Amino acid sequence: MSTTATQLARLVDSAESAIARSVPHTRTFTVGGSTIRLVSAGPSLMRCFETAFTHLPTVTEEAPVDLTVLMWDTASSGEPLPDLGGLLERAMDGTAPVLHDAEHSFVYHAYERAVTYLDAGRGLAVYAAADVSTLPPWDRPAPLRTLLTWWFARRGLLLAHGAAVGTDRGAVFITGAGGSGKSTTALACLADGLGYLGDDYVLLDPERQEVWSVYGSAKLVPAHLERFPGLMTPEPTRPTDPPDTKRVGWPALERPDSMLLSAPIRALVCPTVTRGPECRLLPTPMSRSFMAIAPFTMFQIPGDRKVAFDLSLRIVRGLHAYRLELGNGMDRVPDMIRVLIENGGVPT
Amino acid sequence: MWRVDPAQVMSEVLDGEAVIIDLATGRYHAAAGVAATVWGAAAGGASLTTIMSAVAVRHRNVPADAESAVLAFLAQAVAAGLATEDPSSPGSGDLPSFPVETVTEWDVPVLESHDDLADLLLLDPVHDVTESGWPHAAPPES
Repeated sequence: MSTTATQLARLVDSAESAIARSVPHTRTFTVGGSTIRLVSAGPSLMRCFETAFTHLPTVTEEAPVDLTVLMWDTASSGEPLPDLGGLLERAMDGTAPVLHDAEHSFVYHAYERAVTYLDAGRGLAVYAAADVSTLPPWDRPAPLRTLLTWWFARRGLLLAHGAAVGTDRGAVFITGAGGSGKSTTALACLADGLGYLGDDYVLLDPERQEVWSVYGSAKLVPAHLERFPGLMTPEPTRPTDPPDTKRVGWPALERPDSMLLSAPIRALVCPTVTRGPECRLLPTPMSRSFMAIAPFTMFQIPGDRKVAFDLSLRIVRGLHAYRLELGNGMDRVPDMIRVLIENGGVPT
Repeated sequence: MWRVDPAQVMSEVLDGEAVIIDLATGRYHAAAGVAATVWGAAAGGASLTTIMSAVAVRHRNVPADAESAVLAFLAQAVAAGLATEDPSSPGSGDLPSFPVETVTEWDVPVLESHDDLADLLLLDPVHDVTESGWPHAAPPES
């Protein structure tokens, strides 16, 4: 057995040991055609992560599983991180996996003080953290992003940076840089009764041009709370949260009937805040929609950037794309999106 | 001629505009119109003569001093780390095939650059390992 294989086997052993010495907490759900089981050593990590997956269909404990994720945190379980030797020493950059081949991926998340390991061939993964209470606030609304990115990329699916809203006729994928108005657009649509698939990360299937909800959360800035009073109650901030952290809301808990699990993608929408006299949908070149989706998706999560590039390219090809200018009259936006969906991706 | 390292730079011409992403730095760029033609030809290994032929075929009203504008654009791409110049190689005389839907007017080629992802790529080295096996938390930013 190679040194790396020995170190990874040690990581799996530690996860199994932590779980064996605890009362395991499990949750099994399906998303994007995969059945995924989370097994946590004790309640800490499960409580932190499971709310985000509340809306996803669950299956029985006996159901066959595609991916099992063993999770523990050292603070609550007492299980230390095993000696990973060279693997950890090579993890000089939390933005890139130190191991990433057809079967295995491993990364150390320096800021989170956590590791993610996937053995895709065995359908087995490990997520371990030093201390749940110090995980950064962006992990709660979108947990296991790295792992899910790796898992689904091997199945030709892209965990993409963006929002999605829709109806039973289809959905639009809303993408763009931070501050472009993605969340505002998604929340305006949610408040107006459209189905909600997510506001930060959703799963895209380029082959079927379909979007899947993964996380039932929403990130809220003060302007959202003012604009959409009563839409949802944000979680209280924690003492360890950095200043100016976005608040987290849970549409999956407070508006479960609004959650849409999957839908065909009818169009790409790239919002931009113009503060002009009105909100407008204007056709945008494929290159601009690609620029809105690819760089952020490629670099926000450590993984194979070339795969993310290619999957992003496949998504934008063949879909109508629009620039959504957000000016006065935001209340018109949900109907503009409805019409876009009803007309199969054409605004009028 | 100019060389683009495919291990570091990925690009695609869509709707007549090249989107160029530097995998090492996270910077991404757009090159529209003549700039897309020049980038597509240069990335395909074309010589300067062939690049200028591509510009002449794909654009109208190309000015007499077009070559200096093209060279300025290529210098911009080299300065951005997207390409390297290799004066020792003559480059290809073949026009690389890449999608250009219509013949368009000449415009001065410009590289539009974005570096808003740089923060995502800041290095955070591993710190000393504690008794629990975990590296120390990163020191707070000063």
